[in-house]
Amino acid sequence: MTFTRCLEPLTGPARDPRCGRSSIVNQRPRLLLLGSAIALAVASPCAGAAAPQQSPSVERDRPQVEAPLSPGAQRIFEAARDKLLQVRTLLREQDSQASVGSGFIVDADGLVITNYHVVSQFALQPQRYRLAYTRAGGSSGALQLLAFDAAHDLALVRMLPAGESSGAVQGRGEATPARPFGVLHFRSRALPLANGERIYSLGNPLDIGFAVHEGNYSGLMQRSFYPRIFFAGALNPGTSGGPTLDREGQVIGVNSATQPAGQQVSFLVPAEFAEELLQRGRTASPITGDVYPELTRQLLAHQALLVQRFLALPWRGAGHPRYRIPVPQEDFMRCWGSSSRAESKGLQFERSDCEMEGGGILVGAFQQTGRLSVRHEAYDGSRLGALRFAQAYSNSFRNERFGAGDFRNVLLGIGSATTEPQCQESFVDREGLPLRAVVCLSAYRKLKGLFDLSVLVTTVDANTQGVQGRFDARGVDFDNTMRLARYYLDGYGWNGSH
Amino acid sequence: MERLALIEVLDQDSRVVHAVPVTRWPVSVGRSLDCDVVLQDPYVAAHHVLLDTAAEGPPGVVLTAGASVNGVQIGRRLLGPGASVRLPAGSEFRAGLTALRVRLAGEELAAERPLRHAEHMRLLGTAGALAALLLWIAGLLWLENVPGAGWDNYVPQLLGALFAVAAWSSLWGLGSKLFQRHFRFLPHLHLLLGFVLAILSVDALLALASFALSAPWLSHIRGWVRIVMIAALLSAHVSLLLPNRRRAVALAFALLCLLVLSVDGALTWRHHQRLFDELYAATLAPPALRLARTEPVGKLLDSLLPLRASLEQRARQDEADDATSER
Repeated sequence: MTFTRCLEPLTGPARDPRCGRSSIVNQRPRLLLLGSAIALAVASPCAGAAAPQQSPSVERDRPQVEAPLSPGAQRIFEAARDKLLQVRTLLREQDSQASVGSGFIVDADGLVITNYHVVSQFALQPQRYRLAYTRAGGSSGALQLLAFDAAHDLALVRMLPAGESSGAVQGRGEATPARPFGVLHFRSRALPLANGERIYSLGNPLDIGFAVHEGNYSGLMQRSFYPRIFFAGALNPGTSGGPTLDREGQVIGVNSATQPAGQQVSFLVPAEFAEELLQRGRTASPITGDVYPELTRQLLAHQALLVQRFLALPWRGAGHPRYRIPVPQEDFMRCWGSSSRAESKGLQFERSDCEMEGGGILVGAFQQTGRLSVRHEAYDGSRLGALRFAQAYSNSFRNERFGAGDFRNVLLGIGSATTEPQCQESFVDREGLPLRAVVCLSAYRKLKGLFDLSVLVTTVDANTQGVQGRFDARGVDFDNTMRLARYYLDGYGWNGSH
Repeated sequence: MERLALIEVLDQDSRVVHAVPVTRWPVSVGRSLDCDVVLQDPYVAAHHVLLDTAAEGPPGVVLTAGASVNGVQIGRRLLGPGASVRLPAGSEFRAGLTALRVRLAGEELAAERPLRHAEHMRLLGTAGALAALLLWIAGLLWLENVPGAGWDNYVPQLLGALFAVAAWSSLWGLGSKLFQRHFRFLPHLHLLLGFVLAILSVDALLALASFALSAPWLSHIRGWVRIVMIAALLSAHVSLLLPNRRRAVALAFALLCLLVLSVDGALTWRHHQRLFDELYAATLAPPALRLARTEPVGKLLDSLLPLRASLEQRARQDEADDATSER
């Protein structure tokens, strides 16, 4: 069982009944959480975007999270203030903002680093949106997209002074920004931070105003596919894309994600990836056309790496006395278990849900790709008898959803990123263990050459027990769907002791 | 005087309204008072029909149409003024809106239908079918309930089913009161029980066969089979109300069923690009029922290879459709 959770921040808007609606207009990707309370510990990309309207009651209800600024924070904030930007995605034809994030100037010529998810709405639908910035001093202008790194959730944009525009975008600033701009510098990679060191995250939370959040460097996030810095401090929607600085005011990371279930559990993209993007994109010409070919290229590279690393890891056993069940290593996935109540008179089960930490890569407002998940349920129907077990076992096998019919997309009226799935099914043999296997594929419409794979497996050897498993790979190339399907199916068999 | 024949005047539901004995031939039928059989129908001419005994061959009459605007309808044939035709004994014809039947002395009679025995057997059959249906539903509930579930998990649903069956049959009974002037509850109940049992068992058999033979399509077609059988049930109900229109009713429901199936298929195709809603066969029976052999993993994966081209084609098509609809 999976459910989606509104990504509104813990402070205020989460309690706003309009949350559901505002999450449609805002750039808040889905967060798939697994059906257990502790499983909430999945990083949700984005400190995303602020709710566009804030009611006074929401303001009042906000818990006091910002402690009085320390002298250090004050100094950092003052020094960095004019190098900060609010990055706004506006509807093309009017001044309404669809979402907001933050950014920071890294080049005297007006180059700005922000998150890919802050500008993805514009990147994917430039005919509907435009990008603009507002600086702490109040000046504003348009932004051009130069380059992006979807896997690391980074984008490089260029500030256009008021008067200049990208396309029809017109800045509304009072004064032409002075060139050269003051810039924030990256901390040298040769100087690692120590755990517990004070760091400062800057940005414009919830579209209220520029702010600094103080917190601690806590090493790298465990089990993340790409390195992410664990920031023990607060990040709010709207601060996405803002910088996190060390005590010397040098950039160590880019605000990226928060953990809504946690307190002050946030994640940063390490500065080295922003530096690389800056090097790569410094001389790039603005991206004005279709962004999908480049996004596809990046996703193809991502999936190649992901699948290669995944296939290199042997399955670990589930410890089932009868069956060998494929459960992934927890190198970059995390598994959560749950089970039926012991006193239940009905079907007994134990389940395991493994998802990649940090979700996937955004390809639309709510559509993520480039991720794997593995799940299984081991059933014991000895209290039910063969007929009742067959009934319950069938019901469970029937109760599966597939990508294109994703109810959330249907609910929001968002077209699917993929075609409807097509499936093949049969009884297959795994070292004498008979399985029923269903393999479904769907193709991405705009990301040519990428597919979603779902494999459903159920053992059909016993009257009152069995295992049902599901493997999902989103956004992999066709050869990899075949490799992964085989790898997953080969993970089943009799347990050695059977 | 010897009774040579009987002319029966029938109402819309083929019930005899009155019968005129014939003691001599020919017999005239019309609105005029000098006719032997006088009709009140405004669509009938003064002298509409003349009936005379057939000179040779088996018992029959010769019908001659008189001078009329509307003519005489015999089956699908319309007889104009002056035309005549030979009718076998027991034939019906229509003058204006009135249907008439000619019975002849010496014609062969159908055997007497036994009354009580048949009714008893039918009642027994209906009771048996009702018991079977309740048992079936109880069985389904038993499958879904956890062991040791009390009677409260069964009785409300069973009573609900009983009520639904009674209400359905009563409604059709009311229909028969409307069309046939008497309330016929049992024949409709009998029909309903038979069809529901058939629908349930065909559905279960298809699901099990789909598992046993590893033939997903057997499971996929269940929705359509259900629609066909429900159409057949409705057609049978209506046929009971209009026994003289059986063929027309069957044809109408066959067309209706075809329409429903095509709309259903077209909608599913539009939303899912496949004919059936079900994506895969989900019924898992106990292992002993599996007849199909297992195959190596590689064979299943090989069967996926052709999907690549069709999915890519589909993706292009979807994109083209979106582009058109945005324009």
